[in-house]
Amino acid sequence: MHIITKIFVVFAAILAVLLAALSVAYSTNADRIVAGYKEIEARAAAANATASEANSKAASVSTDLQSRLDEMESQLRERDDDLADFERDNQRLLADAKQAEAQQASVMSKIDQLGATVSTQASIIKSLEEEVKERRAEGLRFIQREIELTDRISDLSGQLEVAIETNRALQEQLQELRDTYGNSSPSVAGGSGGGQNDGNTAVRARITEIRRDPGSGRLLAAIDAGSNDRIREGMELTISRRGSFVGKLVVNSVSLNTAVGSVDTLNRDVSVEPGDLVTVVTR
Amino acid sequence: MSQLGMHMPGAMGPRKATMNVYTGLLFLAVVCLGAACFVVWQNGMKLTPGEGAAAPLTELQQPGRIKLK
Repeated sequence: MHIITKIFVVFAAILAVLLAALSVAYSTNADRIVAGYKEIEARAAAANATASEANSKAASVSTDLQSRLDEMESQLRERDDDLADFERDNQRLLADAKQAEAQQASVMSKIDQLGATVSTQASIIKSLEEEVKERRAEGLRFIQREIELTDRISDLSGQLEVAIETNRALQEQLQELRDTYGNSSPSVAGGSGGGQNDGNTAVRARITEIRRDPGSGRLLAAIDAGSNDRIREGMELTISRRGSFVGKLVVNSVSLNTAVGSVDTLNRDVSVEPGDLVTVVTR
Repeated sequence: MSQLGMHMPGAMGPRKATMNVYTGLLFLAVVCLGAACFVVWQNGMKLTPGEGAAAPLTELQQPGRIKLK
């Protein structure tokens, strides 16, 4: 056998052994890689399933979250609107508060002014009250004085009339005495119980009846003298008793021999009785 | 005896070996085996987890811990 043939045989053997080893290692690696690939594929499938499930869950969650987000956004818009309303209300209230403060200051100043005015008016009213009290007391003194003077005038008038009547009675008695003793007198008596003196005629009468007017409540008195004795309506007669002034009688109605009038006692505590003397001087 | 290198007296002298058809076939086998080794080595380098020219023979993938370059 040629030496080259032998060398080729040796190389072929070595290469065959090397190829066998490489083939074994390559096959092992390829098998393990294929197994790993399948495992990874299974894991990937499981991961894909899990991912799809997670995606579905995430989609549902996302839908829920989206709905909640929409709801939240709507609530946020409502809150924004409410906030805007509150801000507007706040601004309006602040403006109102400022206006109220200004009004309060104005009112306080007015109250101060009114307080000063009230104090001034109180002092004025106090002085006026004192003045009114003084004037009232003075008026009461004047009224009392007037009443006293009126009473005095009435008393004096009664006394005067009584004196006139007494004088007339004395004149009549004197005339009767003169007639009795043959001396004539120029004076002439007129009316029932009446006398004439310088054109004045004194009329004497008696109260015959006393009654109270149911309508007006006034005290009415009837006398035994009438138009024949020159008694006229509206005439004011003097009522006296035993020379003392009792009151006045204002004639309301007159007949021939009687008259009726209302009694005025000038607010004194006296009573008019039948038989009281009524006198007046007529012209 | 000739196989043992001994020569008989008067025997023919040893003939010189020459290449024949088997030498060509072996050459072809050596070439093909070398090409196959190169191809397998080249692809083994892609699958082996190790480094170096001897990695396709010495380094193997571990189950569950596949490592590719």
